Amino acid sequence: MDKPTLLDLPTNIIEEIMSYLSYEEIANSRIVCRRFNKINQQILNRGFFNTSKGVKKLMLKIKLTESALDKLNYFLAFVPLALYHTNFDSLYKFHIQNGTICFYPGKLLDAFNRYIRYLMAAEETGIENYAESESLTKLFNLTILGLKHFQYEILPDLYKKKELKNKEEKILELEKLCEIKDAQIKNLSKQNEKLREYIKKNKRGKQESKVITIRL
Amino acid sequence: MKTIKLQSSDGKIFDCDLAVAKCSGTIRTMLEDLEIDESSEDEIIPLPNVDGRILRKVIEYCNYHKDDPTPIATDNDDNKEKRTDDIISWDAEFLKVDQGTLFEIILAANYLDIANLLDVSCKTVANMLKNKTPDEIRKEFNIKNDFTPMEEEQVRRENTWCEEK
Repeated sequence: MDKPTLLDLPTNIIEEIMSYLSYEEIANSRIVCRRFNKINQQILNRGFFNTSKGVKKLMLKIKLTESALDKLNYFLAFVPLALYHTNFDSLYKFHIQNGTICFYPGKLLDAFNRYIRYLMAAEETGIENYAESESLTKLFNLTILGLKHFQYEILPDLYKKKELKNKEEKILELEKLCEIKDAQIKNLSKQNEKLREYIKKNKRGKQESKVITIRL
Repeated sequence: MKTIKLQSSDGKIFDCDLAVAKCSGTIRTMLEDLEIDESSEDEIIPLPNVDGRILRKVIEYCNYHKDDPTPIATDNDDNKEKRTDDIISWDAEFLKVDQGTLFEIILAANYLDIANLLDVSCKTVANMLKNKTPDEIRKEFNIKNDFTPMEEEQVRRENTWCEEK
C-alpha cells in the first residue's frame, strides 16, 4: 500500500490540524490547492460566526458585572469592538449564508479573537483603560483595511457574479419560454393534422354524397 | 497484570496490557461490547485498519502515556488560541518519523480514538505548516497546485486585503 499523504487524510482531521494555525495562516494557505481552499473557507466562516458568539458572550458578561464603575469601563472597551464587528456582520453575513463568498480577512478574525480574549480575561487582570489598549488600535487599523478591501476587491466581484447570475437566470427563463412555445407548436400542429384529416374526410364525404346525388 | 492480544491488519499479534489497550476508546468499547474483562480467557481483538508497523508504534505510545490523567474536556472556548509549542520531548522524539508514517499514525489514532495521540500528531503536522509560504507548503507535502490560473488569480485577489498599502 502506498503511504498516505496529507491530502489522503479525512477532512475532519485536516480541519483539526488547521485549527492549530492562526486564521491569517488559514486564509493565506487557501491558495495551496483546491481542497485546502474548500476546507479553509469553511473554517474561516465558522471562525467568523464564533467571533459573533464571542461578542454576545461579552455583552452578557457586562450585563452581569456588578460594580457600576467596572461596568462602565468594560462597556467603554466593548463598544468599539461591537461597532467594528457589526460592520463586517452586515457586509459578509448575508453573502456567507448565500454561499457566494467566505470570510476572507483571516487576520481580522485573529485580531477580533485577541481582543475578545483580552476582555474576557479582564476580570482577573482588572478593568482599566481598555479603550486605549494596543490591541484595540490594531483592531481599528485592521477594520479600516478590511472595509476597504471589501469595497474595492470583493464588492466588484459580487456585482459581476450577480450580473452573471441574472444573465443565467434570464437565459433559463428564455429556455423555458422556448420549451413552452415548442409544446404549443407541437400541440398546434397536432390539431392542424386532425383538422386536415377531418377536412379530408369531409371532402371525401361530400364527394361521396355528390356521387350519390348524381346516381339519383 | 491482564494482557490481551491485538491483531493488526497484516495478521501480526501483539500482547498488550489491558490498561494500555484501554487508552484507545475504540478498543474500550469493543471490550465492553464483547464483555471482556480481567477474568476473560485470551481473546484476540482484530484491528483491520491498522498494520503491524503502526500498531507497534501506537502501543509504544500508549505504554508511555498509560498513566496520564484523562484530559478534562475543556469547555469549548471558540475564541481560544491553540498552542503547538507544548509538545513534550518524548512525544516529539516519538513522532520523528517520515511523513507517510506520521499520517498513518494520525489515521490509526483517529480510528482507535486515542485523543492525546491524535492531538499531538496533528500539532506536529500543524508545526510543519506554520510559517511557510504556499509554495513551501506544496513542496513540503508534495501537493499539486490544481487551480486554474483564473481561480488562482481570484483567490489571490480575495487575499490581497492585508497588505498594508
